Amino acid sequence: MRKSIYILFTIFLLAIAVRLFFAFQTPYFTNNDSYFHIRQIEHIRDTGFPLFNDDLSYGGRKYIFLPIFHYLLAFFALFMPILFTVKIIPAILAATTILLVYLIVKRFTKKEEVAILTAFISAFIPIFFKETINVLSLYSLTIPLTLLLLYFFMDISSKGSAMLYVLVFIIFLFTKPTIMLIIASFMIYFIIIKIESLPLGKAEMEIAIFSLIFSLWFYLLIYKNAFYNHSYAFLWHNVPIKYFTDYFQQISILQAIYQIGIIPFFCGIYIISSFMFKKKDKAMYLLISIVITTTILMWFKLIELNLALIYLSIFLILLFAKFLDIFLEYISQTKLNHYYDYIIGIIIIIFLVTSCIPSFQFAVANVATATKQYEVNTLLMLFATSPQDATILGSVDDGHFITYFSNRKTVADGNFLLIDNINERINDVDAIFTAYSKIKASELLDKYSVDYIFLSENTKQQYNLSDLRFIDEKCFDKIDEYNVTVYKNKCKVTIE
Amino acid sequence: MIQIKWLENRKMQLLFLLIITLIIILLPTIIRILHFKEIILPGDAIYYDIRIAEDIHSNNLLANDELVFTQTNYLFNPIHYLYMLFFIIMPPNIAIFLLTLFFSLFSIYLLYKIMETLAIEDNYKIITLILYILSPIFISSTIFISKFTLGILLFLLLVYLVILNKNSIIINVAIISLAILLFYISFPFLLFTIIFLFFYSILAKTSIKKPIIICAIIISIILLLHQIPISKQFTQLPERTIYSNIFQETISDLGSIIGFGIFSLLLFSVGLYVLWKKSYITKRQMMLIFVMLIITYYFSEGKYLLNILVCIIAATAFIYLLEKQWELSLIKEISLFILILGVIFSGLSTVARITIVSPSLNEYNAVRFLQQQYNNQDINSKGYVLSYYKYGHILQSIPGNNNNNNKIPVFLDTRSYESSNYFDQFTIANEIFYSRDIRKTTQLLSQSQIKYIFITPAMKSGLVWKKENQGLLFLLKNSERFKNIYNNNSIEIWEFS
Repeated sequence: MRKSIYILFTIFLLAIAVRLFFAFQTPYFTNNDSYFHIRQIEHIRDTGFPLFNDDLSYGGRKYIFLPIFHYLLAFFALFMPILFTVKIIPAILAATTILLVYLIVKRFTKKEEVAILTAFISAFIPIFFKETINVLSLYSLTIPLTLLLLYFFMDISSKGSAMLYVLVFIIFLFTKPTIMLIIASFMIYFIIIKIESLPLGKAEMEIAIFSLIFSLWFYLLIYKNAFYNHSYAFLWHNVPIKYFTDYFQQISILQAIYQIGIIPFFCGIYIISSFMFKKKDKAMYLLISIVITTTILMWFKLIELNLALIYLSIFLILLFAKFLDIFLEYISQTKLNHYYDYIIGIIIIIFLVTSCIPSFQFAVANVATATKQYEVNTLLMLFATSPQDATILGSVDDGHFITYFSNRKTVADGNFLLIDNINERINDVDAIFTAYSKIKASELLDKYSVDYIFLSENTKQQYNLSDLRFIDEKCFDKIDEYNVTVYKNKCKVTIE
Repeated sequence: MIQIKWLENRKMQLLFLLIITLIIILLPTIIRILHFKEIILPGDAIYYDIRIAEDIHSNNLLANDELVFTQTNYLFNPIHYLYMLFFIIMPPNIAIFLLTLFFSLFSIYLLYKIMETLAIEDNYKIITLILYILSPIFISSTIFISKFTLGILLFLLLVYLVILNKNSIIINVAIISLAILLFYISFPFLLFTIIFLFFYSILAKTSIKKPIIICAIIISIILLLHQIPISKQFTQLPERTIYSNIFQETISDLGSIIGFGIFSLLLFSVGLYVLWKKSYITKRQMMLIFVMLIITYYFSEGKYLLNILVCIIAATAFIYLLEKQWELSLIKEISLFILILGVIFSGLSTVARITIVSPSLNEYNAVRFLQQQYNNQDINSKGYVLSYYKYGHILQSIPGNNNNNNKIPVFLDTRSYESSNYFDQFTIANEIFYSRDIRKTTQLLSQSQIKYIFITPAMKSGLVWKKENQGLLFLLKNSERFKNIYNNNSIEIWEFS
């Protein structure tokens, strides 16, 4: 047991080390939303409250979001430099997934080596790496919270588990509405239990009812205005039509397997087929319910693709643990028992090839596509030289990054909730970048009071541009100091 | 189950419930009076109803409403006649206030008596009534007093007479008369009445012949009345409700002013499951409930009566959860506490919304100014007022200062908006609001004989326009054809010449 704990913590520390190795390759982040989170963390650190009314994003807007992740990091930011906080703490949080996978697998297999092996595999999930390495993401907290919630749910009748479940549940409520996926999974779980004529734990039912009522009430309070404003579009975060397929796209099986990992995918599917309506195991049914719910929500585009893949990865790995348990049990009872250690070694090698390598590839790609120093320098230059109420137009993907470094207003960014006429605005942004006509572009620039246009490499690639097509020297000054093109808008539209 | 000694006394029970009702119903009114320093009735429809009642009283009722461009037909509404009777002896504001109290208290009293007559346990009675009092539909239907408020009362009276189960001719005639009156209030109300008659005969295990006969008589009389030309024009079958967003239009927590609380619906679902599981309800009764749900889906006016059923079944669910032995007692307490909070929150948020609903004091004063302006106009140059349709009745019918009885005609009001006959006028109004083409806009204004434009802050922040200088807002500031004659507290009145 002691040896297992040492191995487990070694894996935990190794995972943190790998994450930090990649994260500290650059002082910046890969994902634009990371800068939104950093702004919130800094605001909480400085004022004690999140920035719900932002004068900069979209030229002035309100946010609706759940701030506990930001509060947690802001707490650490009181003692550590912000850069260290936003790089180290999320890495540690993401790595705790390993410990929780170990605990859950230990609970339903009662075997140390299966739990250790599964924990090791869970340290290197390609899609989880992609979404959390050098990315400041809520997934770093929501995934461990999900696992913790399930851990307590699995033993809800025992003393103390219910209270711990409630505590974790309340923290989760304040993190992300993904908790609703778990609650929906509970409903599927109860249906499966009923069909299988297995005894339904009273405590399980009660905690599920409590979770449903509490979360319904809580999210109604928080998101009521968003629903008033956006109606059904709120369920899809008011994502504009143009980006809808990016957020909620379908994925091919091969891509899914690559991002989840070959071994967890196939072994997990095997376990689902073995246990569904054949063998009876409540713990398996709980995990299978989550896989089914995630798949259904992904199918109906009610959940972002990346989030769905992360959940599928984690829970297929947990199901893989059961496969491993059965497989190793079988091996130990056959003549292959002599080669037991070699078989485990082969499994590890296969895993390294099929999961570790893709994970590292994603990590390297994330570092390579992180924000560049020259882009930051350009925005800092704009911060120093532009008027305080200036508006900078950039692509949606650059929005938060522009706001963070330049501290100036932007026209659009990736946070669409509570923005009216989002499709019109996004179409206007596209129209400006692709315009040939100076008059048309100037009208739209005037509509949003744009003073500067920030043309990053990312924007050029997105719109397939080498430069803006409507530019002329009379109306636009080009600023090209740091190899990033910025245009200053000198002309304004007037009505005579 | 929690036992409260002083609530075991029936009189105390009723008093307790009536006091809660009074508090809930008076709360928005008192807040509005404290805020505005005068009684300003909330909503727009009430002003139309008051105007019609006054016209009936002064024998000035016309078949077509001349105070709206669409000249909408008058539809019979028994509540106008009820108002007229009260207006003889007291001012309209006081009369409406007293009627609000009367309808709310008497509805609760009737519902209480119905449950008492059916020998329902005290627990169920009290919880059902509390759920009903706190239900957004009850609160809204009583404060925004309308024919549906009267309809709920008449329906409860009919139910009470039915469950008295007396074979008296007078009672049967009363039941039939009430049913016919309910038809003229709202067609779904009649459907609910018929369903109830059958539902009750299953519940009471009585012969199905009596409800069949009563329904046959009701339908025959209605068909007969329908042959009489005068009566025919009072009859209008409602059009099927088209939802743009069914959740926002039926759930109060998601936006509907006349909607169900989400936790009441949750309890209703649980209650149906519990009743079915414990075989307290037969298949036929379940089918009738299902039919009521379908009627409400097709005719949203059915919400007013379905609300009573929702509260009864929700109470069943609540008591089931309360009395059930939970393994995790703390979880039980928290869950029930949140359910209670959710129900109270639905009710209180409805109260809060009512306190800020139009007309505000600023809008009231602006309308009075416009009335004076309108009176000073030469009769040949008088025209219509254009505003968002929900201000239509307010503009037409707010009582003027110094007994000034001149009413302002409007281009669109709620009644013409809700009728599908006037889609063209609605399109014209939208074109005027959103166009920046001065020629097109002035042409439409002239053709529609629009003289004034009434703009409120709500219209400028999402109700009509979402941005500054959008559409007509741009033209008003930049064209000489428009003159700003009133600008106070962000309310603007523009004159078009």
